[in-house]
Amino acid sequence: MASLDSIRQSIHESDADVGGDDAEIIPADADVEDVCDEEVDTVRSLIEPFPDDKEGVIPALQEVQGEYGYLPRFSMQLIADKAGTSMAHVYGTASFYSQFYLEPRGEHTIKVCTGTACHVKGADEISEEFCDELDVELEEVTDDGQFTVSHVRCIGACSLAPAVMVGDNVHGNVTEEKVPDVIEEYRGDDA
Amino acid sequence: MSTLLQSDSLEEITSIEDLEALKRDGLDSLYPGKTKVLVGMSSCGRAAGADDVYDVLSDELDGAENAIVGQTGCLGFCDREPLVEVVEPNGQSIIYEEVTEDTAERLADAITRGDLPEGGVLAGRLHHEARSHDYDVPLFDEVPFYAPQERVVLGNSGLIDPEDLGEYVARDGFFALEEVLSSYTPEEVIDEVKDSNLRGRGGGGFPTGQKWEFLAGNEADEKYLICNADEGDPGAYMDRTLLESDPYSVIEGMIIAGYATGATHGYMYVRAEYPLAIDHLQNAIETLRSVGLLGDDILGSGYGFDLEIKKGAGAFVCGEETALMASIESERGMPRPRPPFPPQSGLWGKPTNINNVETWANVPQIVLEGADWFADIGTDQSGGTKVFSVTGDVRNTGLVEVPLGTELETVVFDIGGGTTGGDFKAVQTGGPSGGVIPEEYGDTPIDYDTLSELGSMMGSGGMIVIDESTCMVDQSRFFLDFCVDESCGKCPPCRYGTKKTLQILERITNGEGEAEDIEELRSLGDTMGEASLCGLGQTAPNPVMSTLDYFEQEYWAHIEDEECPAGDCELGGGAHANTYKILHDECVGCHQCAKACPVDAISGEQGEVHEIDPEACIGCGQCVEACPLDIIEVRGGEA
Ligand SMILES: Cc1cc2nc3c(=O)[nH]c(=O)nc-3n(C[C@H](O)[C@H](O)[C@H](O)COP(=O)(O)O)c2cc1C
Ligand code: SF4
Ligand code: SF4
Ligand code: FES
Ligand code: FES
Repeated sequence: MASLDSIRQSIHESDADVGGDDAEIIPADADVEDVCDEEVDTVRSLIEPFPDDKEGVIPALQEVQGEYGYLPRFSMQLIADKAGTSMAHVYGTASFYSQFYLEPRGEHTIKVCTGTACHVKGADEISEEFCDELDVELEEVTDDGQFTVSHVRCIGACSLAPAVMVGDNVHGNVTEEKVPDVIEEYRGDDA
Repeated sequence: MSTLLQSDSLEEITSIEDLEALKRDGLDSLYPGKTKVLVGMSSCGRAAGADDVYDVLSDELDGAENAIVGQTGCLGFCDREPLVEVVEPNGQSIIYEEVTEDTAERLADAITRGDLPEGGVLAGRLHHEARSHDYDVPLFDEVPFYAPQERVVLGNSGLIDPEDLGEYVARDGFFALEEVLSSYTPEEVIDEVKDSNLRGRGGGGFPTGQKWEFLAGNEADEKYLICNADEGDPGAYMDRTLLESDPYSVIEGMIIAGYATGATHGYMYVRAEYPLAIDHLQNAIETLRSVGLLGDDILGSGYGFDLEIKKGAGAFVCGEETALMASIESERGMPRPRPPFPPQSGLWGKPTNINNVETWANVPQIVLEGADWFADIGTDQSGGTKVFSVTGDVRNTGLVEVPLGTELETVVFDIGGGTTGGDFKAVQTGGPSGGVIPEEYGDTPIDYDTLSELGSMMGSGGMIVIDESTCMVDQSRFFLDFCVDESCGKCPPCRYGTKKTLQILERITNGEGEAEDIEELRSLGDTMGEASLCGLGQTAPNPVMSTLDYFEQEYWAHIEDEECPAGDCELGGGAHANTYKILHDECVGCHQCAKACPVDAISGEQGEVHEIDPEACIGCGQCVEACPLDIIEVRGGEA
């Protein structure tokens, strides 16, 4: 049996940072003091309905991200204040879950499913085609701020693989030919 | 989109008489005395265009005297979506497949004329009191896809409007709860569930009645129930579909368990990628609160229960019960060591029981039909059915519900219709925690223990059919890549072990593998299996170990010959046995083959003769399947 030490040793140092560590750098975005009152009020009213303790943190993060598309630093500070917890806890929670984004995203995130059924049916080619068509890398924002291409593991439409999700809409049986049509459906639409 | 009933127009339900009155209304809504046109509107249906079909049908039939349009959930044959069922007033129906806006328009015309078109029929069905069928169509249970199936959990799916409480009650919904509250002691409920041999559908297969008994035995001021709808296996969608198609059955199961165990509050932890399921659940919870079936003093019993939804935030490990509870508490979703087990100390430190969506949905049926009936459906060890999502290289993909103990081959060949391209090679079950079961074990009866003995596991119900064009090393690499991403990082064996294993697999698929790698993979697997904290790390080696058990020669071919026998992974090597040729004289240039080819090996513009590049071809046979004229020839090899 391989000992843990030998496993550790054989991993490149730079590769050994798979999640789990608290020592992450908090992005240098604006603090609450640097943001205008209106923004602060917007976030306050968004998170108002959730419990004033730690239980409310994830639902509040979900609500703010629903509005902003990502989690501005000041919003996490406001959430921490309301829940009576630390910024480190809120940030640690947000960075743990793949659903939360700490950087701005395109208005529409095109989530290409790379789950098993979609993988078998060529999800990688579909993902590349979206990136080529929009001229971006994965997780980047297009120049016009409209799109980000991202991956997701199974959206539950496996029988229509390969599948893609944009907002709450699922597109099934996506082919490389259909990629431009899917993009056009959302372009310029500011929903 | 709910048809007749709206939550705010429903009367309070405090007695069995109220329930019976609602059942009559529900039956009127299900069978309104005129033709009912049902559109399957689960996520799959919508992704295939059911919204547009629904709009066309409602526009065309708006104001029609003889017909009404409604929505329903999943009928199971998901790759034939959009599905539309036309139920005539006498209870006989025809289900149409792959309905488009055009065919919907023609269908509406025909219905207005009192006629039904003959094309595009999937099957007929007998509803309600109908005993025979006037049309010359195969009936639901005669179609090969449905014949071996037994729809217990999916009994209401594709039949009722999931947003309509009355239609659920029309199918005897909440009568199980009524019976339990009025004539069972909590102990009797637990005994019934134990006698049924119901085992957890979330993957582990732990006896459900026993879990409830643990919770019932622990005194506390508050106890919790949790519905695990995190559905993490990336290739499985049973739970999503069940919540979308029949949310009330899951909730009814939870209230019954609440009564049996003394829990008064429940959480439904649902993946955020499932907006429609969340929508239908939210509607169901609000409706039940408004009629008093959730809240204090349910049906005058003095027992009260309430429920709320928590949206997941996208971490596979949160499907693990202790991580899931951490996530509900808004912590990072990391597992913790057990004991203490959740029934001792769970959510907020209180006794908690957690079950999977499908487990909960079985409960009302067990009460209604009896523990013996349920136990008889399955095997000696496990009662009832299991829902599988059958995908991959198989002709019919969809949601399939079979009695436990059904042979794998029945699912792949009878229901699934066999493979699409090459020969059947294996079935992958249990997703990233499971393994492959090779063709020679096709006669294995599906059960928790039989699959574990073969080195795979039941898992939550993903079943991926693999044909000879799939590389097993690459398949393992795919799952390990998943586990590296999803390891929470808390314990070293999983964090480092998954990474190291992935590196080796990547090396092998790149043709840089070494002879020692095989031994190293096995040893890493043993370490992870024994030393990891939670099921993710413990089972992460399974895809590798089981492919090594059954397909070791494929690993060696990559390492020693630098060739991929399936011609699938990075290595290619195109050692597939067959050559494919398009009969040029007959090709009409429909371009279907080129669209089907996964590696773009076919060239030719629409309307021109097409050509296959033998160098690029991987021999998957998809083009043969796709060609409407059957003019692609297979030569040589073992075909
Ligand atoms: C990594 C991991 C992921 C899991 N994912 C799920 C899941 O998506 N759905 C589920 O019901 N159970 C999942 N489980 C199993 C749960 O921990 C738990 O055993 C199950 O929800 C209990 O319900 P049951 O007894 O009804 O099966 C997972 C376990 C592990 C270790
Ligand atoms: S086995 Fe993996 S996922 Fe489970 S606790 Fe350890 S690191 Fe986390
Ligand atoms: S030409 Fe393409 S579709 Fe046909 S067998 Fe070869 S790889 Fe498969
Ligand atoms: S694997 Fe892509 S939708 Fe399930
Ligand atoms: S038939 Fe549509 S989801 Fe299954």
